[in-house]
Amino acid sequence: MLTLFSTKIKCLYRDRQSLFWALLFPIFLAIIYHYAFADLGKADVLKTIDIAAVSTGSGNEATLKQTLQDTAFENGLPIFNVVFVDKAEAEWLLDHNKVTGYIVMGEVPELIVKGSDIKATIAKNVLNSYRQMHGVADIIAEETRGEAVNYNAVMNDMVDREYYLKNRKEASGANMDYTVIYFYALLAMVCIYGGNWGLREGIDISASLSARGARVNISPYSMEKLLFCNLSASLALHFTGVLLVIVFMSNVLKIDFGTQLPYVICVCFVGSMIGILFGCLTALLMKGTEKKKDAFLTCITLIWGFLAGLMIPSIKYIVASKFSALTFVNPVHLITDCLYSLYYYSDLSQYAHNMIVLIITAVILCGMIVMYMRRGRHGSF
Amino acid sequence: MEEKTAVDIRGLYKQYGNLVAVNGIDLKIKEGEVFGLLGPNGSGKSTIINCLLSLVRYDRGTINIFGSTMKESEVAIKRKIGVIMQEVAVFEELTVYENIEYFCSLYVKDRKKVKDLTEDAISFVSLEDFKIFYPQKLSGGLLRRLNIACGIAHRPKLIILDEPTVAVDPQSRNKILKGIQKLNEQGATIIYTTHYMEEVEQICNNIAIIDKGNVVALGTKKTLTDSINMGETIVVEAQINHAVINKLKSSGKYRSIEYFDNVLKVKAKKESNSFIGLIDFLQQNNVAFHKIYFDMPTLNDVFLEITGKELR
Repeated sequence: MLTLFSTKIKCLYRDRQSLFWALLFPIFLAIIYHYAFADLGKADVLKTIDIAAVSTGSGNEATLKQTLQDTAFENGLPIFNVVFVDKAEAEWLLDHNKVTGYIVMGEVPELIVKGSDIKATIAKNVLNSYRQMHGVADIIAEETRGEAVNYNAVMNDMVDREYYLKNRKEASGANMDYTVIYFYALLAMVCIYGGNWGLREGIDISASLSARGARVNISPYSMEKLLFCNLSASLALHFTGVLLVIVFMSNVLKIDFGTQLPYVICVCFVGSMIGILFGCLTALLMKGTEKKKDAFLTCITLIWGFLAGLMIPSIKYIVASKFSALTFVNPVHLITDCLYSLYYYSDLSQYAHNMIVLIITAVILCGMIVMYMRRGRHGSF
Repeated sequence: MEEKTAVDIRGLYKQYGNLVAVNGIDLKIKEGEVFGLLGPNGSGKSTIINCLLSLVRYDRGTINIFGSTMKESEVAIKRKIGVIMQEVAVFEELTVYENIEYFCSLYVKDRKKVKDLTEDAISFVSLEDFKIFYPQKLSGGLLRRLNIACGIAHRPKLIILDEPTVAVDPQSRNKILKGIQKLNEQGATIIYTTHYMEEVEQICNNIAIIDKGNVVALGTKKTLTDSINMGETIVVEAQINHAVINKLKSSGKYRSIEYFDNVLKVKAKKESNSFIGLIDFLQQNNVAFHKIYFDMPTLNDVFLEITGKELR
């Protein structure tokens, strides 16, 4: 078994294409992110946003008005310069680029913007945070032990830190940076990209999919053992690649992973395992050609990445707040969430919760592969 | 002494949807023989092999190899079988040596023995100079030889070769065929599938001709060619006028007569003296010929006689 394992390692190590996609490409992407978002997290590059507000006469408009006027960046600069107008005038202002957007106040305030630049994104985030604020007010009230909730203070925290719970972060001592979300999602994608390695192992053991699969199926060697050996080799090498990406991100790009690196490594290990197992299961269970399976895996990985905020960070929060069930079947989301929780919170409850879901996912995938192999269908055309 | 049976197939039937790929065939292959499965593409040869190796679940029938029923879980039998698939099945990322060693390791546990067997397999296919080469650096012929080495390194008693010479140059093909004969001389039973009748004629003791999932003929080359109503094919290079050709045709002594581009091709019936008879006829009709020769019936003729179509 050791010979087979070491030969497999050699085999994977020499596959330059896989190594490029698993190791060099993420490093390359991380470098691009690093330079593209170098100044994004710094408040001093942000300017006050001109915005219009339209009254509808319903809902708690007074609180919203006050919040919009009082919300400020960390350096004290007000986020919004608000003008209160009627809808027609607001539309005129927007059409003539006098404002970034206008908010229609009411039970559920709505933001109308023309573009998707940084100002529009900030305005959207503030409004989203305002909406969420009502949902979390009870928790805050509980934490403050019944003290009156300072909505504006909470709002400022949300704008600057994404989460109202920033006060918990003291023990982690991290220097909060909004752009880490991209790097975390990228790291999660690197883990899940192990799917392509798993796919290859699944194909290499299926007689109906590859000549090599036919050859090994004819041999007396136990296919379960061989697959275990091959998947272990894939995991060992892929995870080494993930570690190198982490080392590069933290040491070269100075991405902050908080002070709890062993936990980061643990979640990446489980993530890498899930990626490889999912890829293998796709190869074994899905009908069709290798290309079809590969395309499916690529699509699903990209969708997971998108929903976890790889392209648009706010998507992650929209999914988490509106389609929370989806987060349980999205390992990229769970991995990024683990990383965020390590970064933002000093206590490990959120991390542990996500890790349990990830481990359960890994166990289920593993169980499905074992069941499939025991049925002995891998050899059949 | 009674010859032992290596492979015994009875009533093997396999259907894919509406297509009957193997239609209840019976085959018995004796130990130590080179058995040829000959048939056109799509005739069912590879399906028979895949059933034999438990790569395909067949609908009906039984397969016994060395006296035991062949199953997917039959490790002891699998250990005795070596397979060379039609498609080259090696790892691009491993060298010639590492590939052979890897596949041999699936059969043999002892590491030292694996190394010895790997060296033997390399010298058997004459790849000593290419040990450290990666497969993409090898020519088509060398790649086929590597494929063979991967299949036979563990010294199997039964070797199944599924069209191993497809897309191989004549020189490499000869080497492969000689290698197969050598393996047989060393005691291995060989099952050889191909659609090249020359190869089957060259190396096989017994031949089954397959068409549309049925065994349409079975026996040695001699018994097969003797079984058809066809004698030799006589070829004459000469200028012959049409009246003589018509006279020859009207004699009714021959199966078919073709004359084109100063070449007369006569297929004789299965009776003696056709060749001499034709020479006499040509002399009597004052035909001066430059060259005359004959070919004995081939397996293609057998296939043509039975199915009404050419092998390829």
